[in-house]
Amino acid sequence: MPGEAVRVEAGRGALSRLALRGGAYLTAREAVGAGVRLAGTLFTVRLIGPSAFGIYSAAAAFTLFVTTSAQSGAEVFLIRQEEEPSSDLYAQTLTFVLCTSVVLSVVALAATFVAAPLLRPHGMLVPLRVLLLSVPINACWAPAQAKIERGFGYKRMALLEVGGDIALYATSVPLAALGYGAWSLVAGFFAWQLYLLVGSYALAGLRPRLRWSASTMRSLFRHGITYSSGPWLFSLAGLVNPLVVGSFDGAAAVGEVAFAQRIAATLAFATRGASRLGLVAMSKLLPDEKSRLRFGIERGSTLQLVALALPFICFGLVARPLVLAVYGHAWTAAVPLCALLGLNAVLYGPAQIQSSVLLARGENIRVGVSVGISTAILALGSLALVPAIGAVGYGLAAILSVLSVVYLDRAVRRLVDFSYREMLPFAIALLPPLLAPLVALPYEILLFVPMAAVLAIPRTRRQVAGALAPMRSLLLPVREAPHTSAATLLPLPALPGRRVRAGVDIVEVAEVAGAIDDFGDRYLRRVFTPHELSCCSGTWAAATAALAARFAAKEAVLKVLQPEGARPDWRSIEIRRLVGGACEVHLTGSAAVLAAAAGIGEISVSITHEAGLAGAVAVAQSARGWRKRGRYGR
Amino acid sequence: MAAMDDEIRSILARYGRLAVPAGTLGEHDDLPRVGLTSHASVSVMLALEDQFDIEFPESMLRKSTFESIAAIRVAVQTLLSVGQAS
Repeated sequence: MPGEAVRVEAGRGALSRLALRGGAYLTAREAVGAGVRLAGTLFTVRLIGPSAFGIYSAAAAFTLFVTTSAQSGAEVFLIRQEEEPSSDLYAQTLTFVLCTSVVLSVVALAATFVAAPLLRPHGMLVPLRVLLLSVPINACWAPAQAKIERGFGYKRMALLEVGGDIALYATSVPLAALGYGAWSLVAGFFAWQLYLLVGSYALAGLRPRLRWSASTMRSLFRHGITYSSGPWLFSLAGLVNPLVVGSFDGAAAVGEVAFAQRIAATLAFATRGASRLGLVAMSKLLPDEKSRLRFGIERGSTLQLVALALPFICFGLVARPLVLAVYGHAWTAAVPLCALLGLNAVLYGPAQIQSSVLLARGENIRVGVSVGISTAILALGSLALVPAIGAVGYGLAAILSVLSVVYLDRAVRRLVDFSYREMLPFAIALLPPLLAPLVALPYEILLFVPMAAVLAIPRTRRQVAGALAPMRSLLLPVREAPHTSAATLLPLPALPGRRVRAGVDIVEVAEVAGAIDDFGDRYLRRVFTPHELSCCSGTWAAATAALAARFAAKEAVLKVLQPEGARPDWRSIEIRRLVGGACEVHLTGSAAVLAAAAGIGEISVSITHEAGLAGAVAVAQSARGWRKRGRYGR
Repeated sequence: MAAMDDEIRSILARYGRLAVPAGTLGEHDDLPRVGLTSHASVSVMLALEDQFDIEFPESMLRKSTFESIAAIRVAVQTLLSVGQAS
């Protein structure tokens, strides 16, 4: 690709500029949403205080539980349809979620009258009843959201998300300033859900219609039972705070726990992509899938631990003055909870890797069981500890709930044996400092002694350096290409009589994002296979980066195949995702014919994306050498 | 022919991500050398399909098809004539 040669010659400066431009384009959308959420949360939380926030959080947790049950995974049902669903199927799904949401919200409303004396925290009852009225609004936008996601309408999804956040906080912040307490967030919640309902149908171009079909209702019900158990169990865990902490320690404690949960969720951002590093950097060098899987689990768990622990440690060191300055004196009681929930998040990090392995193998039930065990430990632990020591007991119970990892560990070991040896020095070094907010200043330093010891001992220091090596690709994402060759990237010895062929390509993520914006579904279906599209979901930034990496991989494979005439259709080079995150190449049609003609069996490919650029390297052994005048050989 | 070249130049300016203004290009200038990447050529191809109501078959997915304005013009004219004949 001559265009690429121009870039390479331009050197690091040009590449860095490209990276900055692409990164800025993509991060702008995410940044707007995050900025609105951060500012909105800050203002509302500071203005209404722990008690009112606790009342709202408790009512919202109950409402989320009812909504999750009502939706029954209807959105996923539509997204997983192989063919584009008919307008009748959208209408039938809307009918289903409308029925389930109305029935469940009526049942839940009735339950609030029957169980009124038992519902805690005090003051939650009326806001809860009002919020339960929003369940049908919340559930009914699922079909429209599914239609947008099926069409890869990331731009429209981003518009919905950012608009929803603006609707929520534009309503709640002024009301909070006027002293409406928990009601300000209840009103904001309604504004948010109404915007999403109207906005999603408008942006999806879908006319809301009701249509009854007994067979579709049965299919949706069966699907709901199978697939929505995981989200349902997660929302069930959300009830432990209001039910247990609310009963024994009051609304303010519920607010403090909810606040700590938000802080923990915000600081856990660094997990994105961390586990990927190890897999991408090394997985293709290993001889078989089990080795890759083992390596992926071990390296992924270590990186997950590091990526999670560092932000929490930094936050912990400044937690008290920061919370006091930003959120006000009323929230300083939540600081110990932040430390405990931070420790819980870090300890649970490796479990996320193990859950991913099981989910990729279709073992959803085992993941559901582990969530169930975790929820049960959290509930029982809170029941035992909160009455004795207050809301901090919830934090300790959350740490105990990490014991559910034992079940996950056993389940994954049925697939592959692995070790925590690589992770151990990191755990010794990084876990104690997480508790810094719980310890007074002179003694806080003692928490860093294990870290100093790990770094002082040469053997563990080498272990740490070795495991962190892939992190360098995060810090130095753009490399000088002219000095890189297949031999230095992948030390594959060529078999006698065979030649190694390598191809490399780099694509700006912004180019792919722009093509989706300009040509939408037509571009996606023309270039990528259904499997590739199904692998590239998530946020706009993540999905476009993953698609760009796959495009780069197709071009890299093309350079290995060296077509002399017509190039194969992009879809005849499929980049398949393997368990553990590595990729393999699957050729069909004219690409397969070209490979056979060149005596190429397997093509190894490694993809990566960072800072607005996506790249890929493809390597294969051929019965023939490089073509002397091949256009793709430059 | 000049009108078609202008339309192609306008598409290249919009989707080609070239390092030079498309209006300054001669009809035989090497487009990859002025920055037309393989990905940008996909966008150019889709825009050409929209503009001229054609579809590029796999047999025309060649580097040479997108190497210059003249080459693109020939490809578009070929596809238009095939469309008219059928």
